[in-house]
Amino acid sequence: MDWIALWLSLKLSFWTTICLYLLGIPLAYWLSFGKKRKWKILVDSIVSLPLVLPPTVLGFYLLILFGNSGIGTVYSKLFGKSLVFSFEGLLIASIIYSLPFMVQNLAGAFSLVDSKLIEASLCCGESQWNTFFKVIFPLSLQGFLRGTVLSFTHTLGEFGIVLMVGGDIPGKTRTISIALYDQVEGLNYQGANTTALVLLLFSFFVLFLVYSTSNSQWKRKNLFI
Amino acid sequence: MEKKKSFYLKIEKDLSQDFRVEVELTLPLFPSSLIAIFGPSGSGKSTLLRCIAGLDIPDRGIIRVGEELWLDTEKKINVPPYKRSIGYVVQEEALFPHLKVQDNVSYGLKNQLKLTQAEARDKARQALRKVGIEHLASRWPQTLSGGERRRVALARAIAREPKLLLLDEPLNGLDFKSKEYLRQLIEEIASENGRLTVLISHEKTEIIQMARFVGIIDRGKLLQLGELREVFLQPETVEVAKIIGIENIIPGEILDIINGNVRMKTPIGLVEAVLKENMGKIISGKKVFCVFRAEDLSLCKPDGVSAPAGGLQGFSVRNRFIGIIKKIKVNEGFAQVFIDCGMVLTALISHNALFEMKIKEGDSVCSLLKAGGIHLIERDF
Repeated sequence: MDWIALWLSLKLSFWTTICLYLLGIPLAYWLSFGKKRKWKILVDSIVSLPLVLPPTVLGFYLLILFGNSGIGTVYSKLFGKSLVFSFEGLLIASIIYSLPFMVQNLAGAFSLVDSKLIEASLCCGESQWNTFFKVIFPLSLQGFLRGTVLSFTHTLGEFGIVLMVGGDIPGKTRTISIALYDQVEGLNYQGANTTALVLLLFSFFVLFLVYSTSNSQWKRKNLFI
Repeated sequence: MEKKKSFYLKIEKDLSQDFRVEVELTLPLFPSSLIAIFGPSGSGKSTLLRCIAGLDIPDRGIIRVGEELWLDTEKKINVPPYKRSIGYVVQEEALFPHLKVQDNVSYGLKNQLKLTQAEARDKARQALRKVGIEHLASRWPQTLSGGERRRVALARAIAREPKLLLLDEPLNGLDFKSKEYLRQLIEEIASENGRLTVLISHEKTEIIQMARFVGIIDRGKLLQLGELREVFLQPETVEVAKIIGIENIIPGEILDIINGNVRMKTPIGLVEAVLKENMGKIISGKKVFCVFRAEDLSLCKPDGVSAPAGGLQGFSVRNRFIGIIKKIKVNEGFAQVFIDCGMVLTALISHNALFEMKIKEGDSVCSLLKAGGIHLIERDF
């Protein structure tokens, strides 16, 4: 078991989720409550791209982007180091890769909040900002939970994009899924088995927890009453 | 009206290509007043209320409450809803499902009135006591009945002591007992000093019981605004007469004025009405509508009266029209009788009267109408 890789993966997942809150909440809010419909469709499509794109495609473009052109150059001028094959580069890639999981869950939950309640809050003297924290947030907890868990576990399990952007540097960019690949490559089947099992159980446990707290998403309500 | 003590609103808002809400009104803020905006569904009532609350923004307009300017599209002033002193009760109540009754009522009080937690709680308690449901303070909104939920919504609206109380169909969908209770409560709350209560409704009875001022709205236009009695007894236009439910609207032409009574030629014969101040300029040849309520029409068997048309000897009633009963519709508490006298008139009589007179469809019947029961409206065509 490669504990360093596991720790790196958990760290990456944690920071990815935190950054996704910062990026995803305003984006989901705008998608649910904003007025510009045309732009919404465009943004929604872009945000959802990672769902259908092979991770290697995304990884390839990010590699190019992080390299000696554009963002990569600016970043290395500012911070004196390269984005490619670094934890920061990995973080940015993970954020983009898991963005739909956060945004779609949040936007879905936000748009289920009755607009009458939001208006009632405004009429009770609470600003839009306060209304978000006092009404919208508590009523979309379920979406937050799902968005958080799916982003976290999705990042934990990513492979192709990590390999493309981050490579395989122990302690720096070698995540648990890459460690697993290495173990298989090195014919260390016993080690691979432990790693795979840990990942499997962890993911299953977390998903089970989420779905058991939210009453099943497939349950039809009031159909047979 | 003094600017300091009045509410002024002038708004225009296009809702679709051929529907535009366009309203202008001034109302007194002191000592207090309750205005009911009455009109059919889809007439723009809710839009008007939402514009006052700031939830909808008019394309053009001004809203002024006392000396506070809430909206002036020309000066680009638009005070957001959370900075307007309003209490808004919507039909759906919109209680926060994640907060208990007490917290629903105290919601926003701390910020709005700059209170401490304890003061906000006291204010909420007071409001709950006022609407008679202090004992429900620790319940969840989902566990309450419709009437109780409406009362919580009302408590939440008044707890913040708003200058404007906006009520969207406050009695709609409630049972009789809850309606009665809430109606009295609203009247009491609306009478508090310095408060303007704007209520919208499509129920005539609710309005007659509660409002001091009535505005009649249809297709986005405010057709008439005035004191309740004035609007209901003296509608200015035929549209208003129709909306407030006056059943009989008969076109006529003025013949002459004799001893303060106006005589008119109409499709149902000669009609005599008492001349009143508000009837405008009455000259012979002028075209008018004779407007009268179904309950002002009495019925008798045609053999019960024998007199020349245009006057009844031995009767104080000045008008009688003989016709054939087209239809009798028996409703709860009364019966509607439709009589063809050259135009179909509607009369409202009690079940007992219907039973004793033994009238049925196809019978000939005489309708009696006092000259004082007729209101005249000018017509141009």
